[in-house]
Amino acid sequence: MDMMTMVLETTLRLLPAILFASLGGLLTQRIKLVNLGLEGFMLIGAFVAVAVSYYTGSAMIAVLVTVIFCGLMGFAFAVFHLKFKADNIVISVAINMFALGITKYFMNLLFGVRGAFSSQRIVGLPKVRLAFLDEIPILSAFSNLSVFVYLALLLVVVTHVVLYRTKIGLRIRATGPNPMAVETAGVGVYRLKCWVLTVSGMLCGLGGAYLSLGQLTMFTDNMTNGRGFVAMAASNFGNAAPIGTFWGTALFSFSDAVTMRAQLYGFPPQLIQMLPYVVTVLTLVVMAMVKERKMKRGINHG
Amino acid sequence: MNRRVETIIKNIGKPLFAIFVSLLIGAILIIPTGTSPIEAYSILFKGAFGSWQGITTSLAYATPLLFTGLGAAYAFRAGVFNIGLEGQLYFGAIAAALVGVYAPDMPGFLHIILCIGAAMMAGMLWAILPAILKIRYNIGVFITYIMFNNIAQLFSDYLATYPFKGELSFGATYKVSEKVFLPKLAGEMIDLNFGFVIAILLAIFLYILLFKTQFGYESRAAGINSGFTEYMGVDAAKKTLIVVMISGAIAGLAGAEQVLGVSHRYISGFSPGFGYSGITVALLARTNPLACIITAIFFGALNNGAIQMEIFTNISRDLVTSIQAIMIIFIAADFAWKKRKGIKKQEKKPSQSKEGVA
Repeated sequence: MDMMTMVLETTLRLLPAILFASLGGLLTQRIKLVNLGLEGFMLIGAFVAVAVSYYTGSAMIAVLVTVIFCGLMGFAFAVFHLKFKADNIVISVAINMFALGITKYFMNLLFGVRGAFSSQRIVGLPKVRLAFLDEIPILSAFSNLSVFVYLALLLVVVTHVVLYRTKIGLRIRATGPNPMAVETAGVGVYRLKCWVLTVSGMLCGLGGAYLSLGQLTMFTDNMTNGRGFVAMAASNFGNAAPIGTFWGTALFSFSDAVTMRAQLYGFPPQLIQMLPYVVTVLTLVVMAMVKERKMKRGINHG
Repeated sequence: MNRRVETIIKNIGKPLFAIFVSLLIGAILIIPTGTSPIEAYSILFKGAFGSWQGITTSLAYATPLLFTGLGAAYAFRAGVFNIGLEGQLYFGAIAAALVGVYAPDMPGFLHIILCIGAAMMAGMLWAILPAILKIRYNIGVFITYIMFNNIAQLFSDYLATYPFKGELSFGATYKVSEKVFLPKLAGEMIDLNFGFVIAILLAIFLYILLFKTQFGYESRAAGINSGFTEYMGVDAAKKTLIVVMISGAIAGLAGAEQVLGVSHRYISGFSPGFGYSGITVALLARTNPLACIITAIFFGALNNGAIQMEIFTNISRDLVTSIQAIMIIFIAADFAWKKRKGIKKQEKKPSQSKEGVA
């Protein structure tokens, strides 16, 4: 495989985890809620997926349980934030801390190991083998990808359609800027928000399950490693629109893939690992500058 | 008078309630290990407070948490949610270590001040950048702070592993000059050092600053009007920046204490999340600097006891992290003490979410 194909393949492999979570982030951003808990949801999702797969031997059941579990956590987030009025950032910080501790605790309790857990008994997610692409340059990157890569791409389209073509999408979009109007229209904003948070938890669950079952079938401490935050940044990048968010995710996955490749050439690992975070911050700055320039131009022309 | 009693109940009762609930949930988590929760907790408590060594070690554990807790509490009071303490702490630590190792020969006292000053400066700079990005470009501080945390740790680790690597086989700088060691308070074997005294003094200072001075009054007023609002006047922006700088400087101090008082060199990845735990300390103290002393010691003891518990039972110390997290959630939640005036009314209220990113 040539360099370009390899980077493309790595990008595609890294994409789903962040993409699922960023769709979750996008939805909560629509209801004007910063959900930094994506990271923690994902980490717990990754652990639950590995544990269930280990005990049941079925990736299907593992994914199902993970999605339900993370959905419930999203719902709990909603209850604590909306009903008990806990600050969303505070809850997010707590969830991330909780996820870090509880996954380590249960890894030690259930499997008696520290740091990382892997076993032959864990069943991974199925892959889609497209053998006819093997010989075609560049496209061969698509020849052996997890089914979740396609699911993630499909969900981008689904989210787009739901958000812009359905009644419920309209309500979600209206809730952010104008909750009163939605309420006046006879829609329970409270319930809607609960649902959005639950779904965002479920999406993070998918992202987590992909992390631990998609490529290598294993769980390691803090294996999300900031992906949840990057996902939030991606949704920011895309102005909370599904297609834009997809491009944000693609950009971050690409920079991640490049760094992973670069690591093989003996650059200091710390500097290389820094790169995705630096890219994230720089992207946000550049985006803001572009936006500002556009607005200024708009004023001049108006 | 009645209101006063109510506030006291709220300020003390609520944290106690949160502690109780989280320990209870912790007990439930302990049951599957086969050890009785009561036994586990008593080992934890004895480990933390059962001996002179236990107590002093707990205080040593509490020291960095008190610093970061104060940094968080001060910022929260002024309406700035500084979740970048972890990164500010790392840059503080590496700055203190580098000055401690490489600064030219000078009197000890001056050298210590230089180390601490460098640490505070580094923390300050790292705190202020995201705030400037927010004010100038309206970029959400929460994401930038978290990105900055990762960047700071990785970059400091890089410095200690490549250009400034010391004689050890892993990523750590040389030992700092002996002149800049913070004196130990409880014998050579225990990490408790003069940094603890500095932290206590700082808590008192911040309390006076916040509650007895004009400047503090203004910060608190700014806090009530929330620091990072979408459109900020120049004056408000300036005040927010000052708050962020002070908070970052305190976090840098936490890093300096770890280097000058405990490890005497920068060690890669030395912080087990002191910055994040500081948030817990501050919230549990209801952002009162003096109460931070108590909550920091509480968490220091909890962490210290957890290690004893891990040694003597089969319970992993990570349990304590989870307990802390549950505590935060319950302290942040506003359970109705009085009967609610109908739920419908609150639903209609637009939620008070932080809109930093949006």
